[in-house]
Amino acid sequence: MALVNKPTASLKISYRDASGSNGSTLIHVPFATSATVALAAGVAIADTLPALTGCAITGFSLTYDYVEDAPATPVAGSRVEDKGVFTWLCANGLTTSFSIPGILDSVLLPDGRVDPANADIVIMQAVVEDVGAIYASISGSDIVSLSEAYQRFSGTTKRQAPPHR
Amino acid sequence: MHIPVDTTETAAFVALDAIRAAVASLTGCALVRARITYKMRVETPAMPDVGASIKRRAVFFLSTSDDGPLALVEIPGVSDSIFISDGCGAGQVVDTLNLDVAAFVAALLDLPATNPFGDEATELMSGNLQSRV
Repeated sequence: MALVNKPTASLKISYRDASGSNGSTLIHVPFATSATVALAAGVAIADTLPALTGCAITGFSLTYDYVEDAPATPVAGSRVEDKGVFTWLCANGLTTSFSIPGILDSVLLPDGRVDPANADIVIMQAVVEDVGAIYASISGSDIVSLSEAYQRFSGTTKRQAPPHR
Repeated sequence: MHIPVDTTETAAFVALDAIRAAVASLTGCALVRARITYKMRVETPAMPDVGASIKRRAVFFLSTSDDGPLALVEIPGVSDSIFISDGCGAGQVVDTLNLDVAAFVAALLDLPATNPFGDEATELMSGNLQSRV
């Protein structure tokens, strides 16, 4: 099992028209193109667009996609709505959080908190926090410690549900 | 999960692969895909032109290096000025000699832009107006 990349990365330029509706231009680039080069090229392309469109350019994004080449079989009964929510303290004193869908009962305490002493939790925490790790809050502040973690159930969204459901 | 925007895509993937391995033992779900996205926003976007609509699009068809599938690029809210103005296709066919079109295509080829299969775009073949609803 490994993550393998798609043949291309994608540069998506976003627009807004006079009605407030949003549109985009999707441009594929070789996957080996560095983010620095692709983002600079995005700026160069965006600079040429006002002469071609009456829409306002609002920004752009660059995405590198990976797929699992041999996905594991999900554990029987696992549900993405059954999440482990992890809230982290950041260097700037604020918090950030992410969730892990299908959290295993084996890493939970009876009261629904994530067991901070669980060996697998400790390993994951080390990956997120360790010196040299790059995980940060949305404002770019480095994650420094785990603040709290607990189980939470969410409603099924249409996007989560299997086709035709 | 967030990473600083100045993180290289190589370092980001190393971190992604590390967290993938660490999370695998915490969930009963199977990981099927992951993505790394860099986002940039225009601080003060210009005002759209009056009447500009994303439903009115120009589609550019670019040839690729190996005679494979073409590369397509769409521009929403396209201006009238980039279409030929008389004859067959007036107002519908992109004027490939238009200097603004040429500048856009040059920027695409410099990147280089590709089709979804990674075949590099080599030149603009044609372009035309399309409407989407």
